[in-house]
Amino acid sequence: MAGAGSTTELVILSLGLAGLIGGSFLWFTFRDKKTNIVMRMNLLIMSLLFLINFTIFALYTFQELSFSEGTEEILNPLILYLNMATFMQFGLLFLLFPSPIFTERKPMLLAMCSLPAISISILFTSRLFFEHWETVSFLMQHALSNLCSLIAIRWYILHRTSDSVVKRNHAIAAVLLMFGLVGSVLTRWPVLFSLGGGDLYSQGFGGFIFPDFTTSDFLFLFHHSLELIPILGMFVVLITEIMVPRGKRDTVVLLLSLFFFLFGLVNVMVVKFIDVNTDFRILWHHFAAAGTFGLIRPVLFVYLAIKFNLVDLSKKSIRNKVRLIAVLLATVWASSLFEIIQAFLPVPQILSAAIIGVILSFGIGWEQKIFDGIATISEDDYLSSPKEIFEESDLFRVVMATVVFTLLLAMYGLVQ
Amino acid sequence: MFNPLLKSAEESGERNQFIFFGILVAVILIDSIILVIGDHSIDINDHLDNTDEWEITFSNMSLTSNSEVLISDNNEEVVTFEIPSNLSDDGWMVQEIYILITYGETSLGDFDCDTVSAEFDHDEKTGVSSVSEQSSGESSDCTEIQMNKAWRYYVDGVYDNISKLEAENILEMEDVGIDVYAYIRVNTDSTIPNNDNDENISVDFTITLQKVESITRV
Repeated sequence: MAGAGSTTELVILSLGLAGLIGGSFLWFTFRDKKTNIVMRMNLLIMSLLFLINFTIFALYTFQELSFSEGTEEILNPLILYLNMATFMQFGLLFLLFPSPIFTERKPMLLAMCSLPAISISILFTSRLFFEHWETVSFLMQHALSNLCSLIAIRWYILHRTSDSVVKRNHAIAAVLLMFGLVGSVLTRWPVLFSLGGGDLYSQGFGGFIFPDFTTSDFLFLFHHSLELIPILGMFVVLITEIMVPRGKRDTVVLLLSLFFFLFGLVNVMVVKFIDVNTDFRILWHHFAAAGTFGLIRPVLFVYLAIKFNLVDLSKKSIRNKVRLIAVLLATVWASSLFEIIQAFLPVPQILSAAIIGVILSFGIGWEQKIFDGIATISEDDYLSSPKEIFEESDLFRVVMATVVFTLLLAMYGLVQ
Repeated sequence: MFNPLLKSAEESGERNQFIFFGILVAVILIDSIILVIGDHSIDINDHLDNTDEWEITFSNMSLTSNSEVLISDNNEEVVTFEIPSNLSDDGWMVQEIYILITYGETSLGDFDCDTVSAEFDHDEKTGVSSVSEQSSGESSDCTEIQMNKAWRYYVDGVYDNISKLEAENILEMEDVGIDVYAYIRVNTDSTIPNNDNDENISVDFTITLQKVESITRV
């Protein structure tokens, strides 16, 4: 079985996916001025999330290819801080998507600005009270991003069985967003029933260290309690999608909730029965944790963007570019999937390359039909969004604020 | 100010939301009780209760064996030492393999010592690199031949920047349950023709084992 080498290849493929989607979403945001500004703001925040992920994957790649211990010591805190920057994007998306939680400009901007303020407050407060404040801060912020998933769950519970298509769209879009953002938490759902033991709990902590026993106990309970929110949300989705009348059923949401449910079962078995020091476990840990935000999130977000008109597909030039990106995405994604299969099953490189080629050649024939299917449906599937909540220049302001905030965190990680 | 879509128009919407919160609070409470006072708390702490510093003490033990072999001229004998595999149950690891080969000139009136050459190897389980190694030797003047292979020797003390799990598995050595092979070859040298055809060789194995005795948080 392949080991560390496969992890590096997966990281590089995830890097490519994040860069491709981040870059193209950013391009569409500023190019496609016909689309509603709120939808463009959503697309922009998604693109910034992918661009930060891209930087994280670039650092992972550098870390995996580097043999120097010193490099790892520098990069580890940097990755930790950049991960903190992604949590701010999580919060922003939960506040804004599928529809902003405030309909007026002032409270909405205030809510958006409060997210980096909370993040920095947690960072400084942790520094005052804890020896390993960066870890404590990371875990607190991670836990709070899970708290934000309550907004998505509220959208879902209120509107999933509504008779209005637009309202149902909000419920579906909100839950797809939650799956995309906190998917790695959902793969550990058996912790809800205290299954999997310490290994499964610690998988969520990414091997972070704790300053002392009392703190670790408190932090653990805090982190674990807030992780239960999306996990319980997943069960609500699974049960609702099974029970909902046929006419209102959404196959994608049903299949995704089933996927996370089954993935959680496989994950708990792997964690329970396979030794922690084996190559398989290292690769599995990467697949279960990084794989969800490196491979599953991109596909989900592209689906969201196309299905819910975050990109205006009525314009032919935009439509063609989206199609091209969709094909590129499918190519990189298929390679990533085969990389994972190849890592677990020893299939020769040449054979997997041939299989990818065959699948893609068939896929490209079907791609127009699949794409048109999603895009055609999307013409009827709109999300409502309040008018005049943002202005054109807000897009640039958000980009610059994110760049400054991320650089600030990165510098903090480098020179602390 | 709030998005009207986030306010429920129907009573059932708020009721469902209330049920969700109720279940969530109940699950958090049950899980917290299980984690704090249940059996899982110990399990979790083993994984998460990591600090920078652990005081670790180690135990040492030696296994010895002596063999006498008679080797005829231009022949080679293999002497094997088997390290019992059941020692791994107690956490023992091989820290050093030491082999001492001694002999004298046993032929009457012969003033020329025989030439004895030796080398050794062993089964490999962990593949951990040794810190010092002398895997062969030769003597033609009846002096002893010493061969050894040693892995890092751990001394009692405080080890930092490791988790408890890493502290438990700190020993980077060879596993027990391996066989050590000493290959010994004799070329007889004699001042009297046809007087010296073989030699008695004494082979002493000393295997030093080490294990983690205790781990205490500092």
